[in-house]
Amino acid sequence: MFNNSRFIPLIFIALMTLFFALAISALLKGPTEIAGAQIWDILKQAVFNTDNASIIDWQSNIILDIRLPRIIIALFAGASLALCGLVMQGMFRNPLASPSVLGVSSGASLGAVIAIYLGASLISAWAIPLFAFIGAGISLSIVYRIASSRGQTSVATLLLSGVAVSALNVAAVSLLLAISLSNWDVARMIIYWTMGGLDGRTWDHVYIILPIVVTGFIALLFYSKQLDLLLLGEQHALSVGVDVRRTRRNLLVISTAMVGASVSVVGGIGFIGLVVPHILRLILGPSHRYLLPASLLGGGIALLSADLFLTTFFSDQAIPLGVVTAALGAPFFLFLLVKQRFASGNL
Amino acid sequence: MSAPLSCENLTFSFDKKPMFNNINLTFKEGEFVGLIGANGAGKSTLLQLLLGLLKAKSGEVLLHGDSISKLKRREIAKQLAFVPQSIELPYAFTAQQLVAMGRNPYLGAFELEGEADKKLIDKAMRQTDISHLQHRLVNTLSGGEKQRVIIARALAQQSPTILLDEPIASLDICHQLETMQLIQTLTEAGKTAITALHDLNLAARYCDRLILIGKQENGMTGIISDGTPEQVLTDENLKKQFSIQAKIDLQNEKVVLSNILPISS
Repeated sequence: MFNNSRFIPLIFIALMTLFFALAISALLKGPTEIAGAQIWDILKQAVFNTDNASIIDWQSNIILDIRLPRIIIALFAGASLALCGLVMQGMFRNPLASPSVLGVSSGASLGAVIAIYLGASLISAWAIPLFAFIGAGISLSIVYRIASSRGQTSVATLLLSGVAVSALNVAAVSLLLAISLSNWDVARMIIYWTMGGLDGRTWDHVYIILPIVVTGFIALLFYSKQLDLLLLGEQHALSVGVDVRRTRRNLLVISTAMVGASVSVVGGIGFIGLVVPHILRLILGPSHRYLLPASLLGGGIALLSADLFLTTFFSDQAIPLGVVTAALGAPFFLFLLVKQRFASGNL
Repeated sequence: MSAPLSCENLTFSFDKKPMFNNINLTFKEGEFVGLIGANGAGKSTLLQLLLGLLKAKSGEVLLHGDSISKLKRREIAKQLAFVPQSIELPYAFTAQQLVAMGRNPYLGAFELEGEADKKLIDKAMRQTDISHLQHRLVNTLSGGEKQRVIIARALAQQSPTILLDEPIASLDICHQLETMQLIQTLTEAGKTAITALHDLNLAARYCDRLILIGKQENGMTGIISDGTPEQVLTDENLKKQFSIQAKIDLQNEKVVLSNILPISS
């Protein structure tokens, strides 16, 4: 509240500008050239229902049914991962925590694959997110149980339990895939789903991710003070009036729901939840009052720019989105690990 | 007016092993109470029970007569502040931000500190002599400075009672004395302070009342002795509870232990 306060409005203006600039350039960019004025007309028609003779149907389809949902999903999936990373880093009091490192993303993947395997995904579009939510929840509560005793978390235990739970989840996904190979329809659905990414995403996916991330974000805002206080440790938080147990439980539920939603829509995309909150914390300081909205914007910016990077430079090869975020995020993770190792002398 | 803090028939088990049995304590307004006992005797456990951090198996902790189990944490925080043994901050808050957190029980989810809160924060920092550190990051402060920041946070909480878990354990001798003096000043102004302490001489010098926790004859942990330093620091208690022998003198009406030697069994 005191150190960088003069720059905070500027930082938010910069983040918002970047957020919308990226969204607009993603709208303009694609394998098919569509003029900016034409896109403007299409959007105007969609919003105000005005009749415009110059609009070509297939162009309108590309903009409204392919690019627009893709952008919205990228922004909100990124936002959800960054917000969850932020909350987990705060709750575990550890800058290395994030949905992918702690095995929460892989738990969500396992849940989603189970939903496909059991055929539940054919019954309702909400089956995959629901199962993903359950899988993420189980994984996170296991890691949480193992790694935090009396509010203290050792880095080694945290990472190791995350690794173990991840390995178990990945093994279970492979097992399910192997079993389902005899039934090609199911296997194909599983393989298609595990590829993840933003290709072929529709408004149905938007309807899953948008409400959950928006509701989750608003709910998290109510916890911004508690998140600050939890950083000081359980005893401190409790002694200044935070109901630690209840707060933790609610935060776990909110962040799990958001991971479940984003994983079920775009698959496991690693390291955004680790890197984005960390960089924002360096710029804005530790107060969640600023970090929460900044992570919403920053996560969206990160995922959308990774996608734009791929579609601009590697549009011919089908490189998964997770590869880009991992290529940037994994070295960053190692850097943090080394830094922490030097700071504390050990792990 | 009922006591700011008391407990009735407090019983506690640790991993199904009974630990405390029927603890009854009443703390009066303005008392400076020292909790003493050997390592692992249960000083921290008792503090955490009083704070509601640990749940008692039976019995009750009362704040001005109201059971702590029926109060919300925010309400408890207005009555009871706590200074834990150590603080490790993974992320950088300034000293002022940390002290300001003491105002949390009085503020809504989106409410910022008002003028009155800011005055209390400034006052708490002056009392603990950390005003000059207000813009420093807490994790760059020395152990003694950090401890004073945490105490200032507890003061900003404006609670009638403050619990401290070995607040001077990591401090050098000068800061130990300053911290004890600060707590004494606060209790003279009407606050009740309950402090776990290791240094028996400092406990005897500053505290009005000592509570000795240790193993009773039946193997349970309990209160061995409760009274003025003279009543508690006896030959027998030192021998049985601390395995030491010492020369016990009275200087300026304060108990002083000297020639302290371990009793090898």
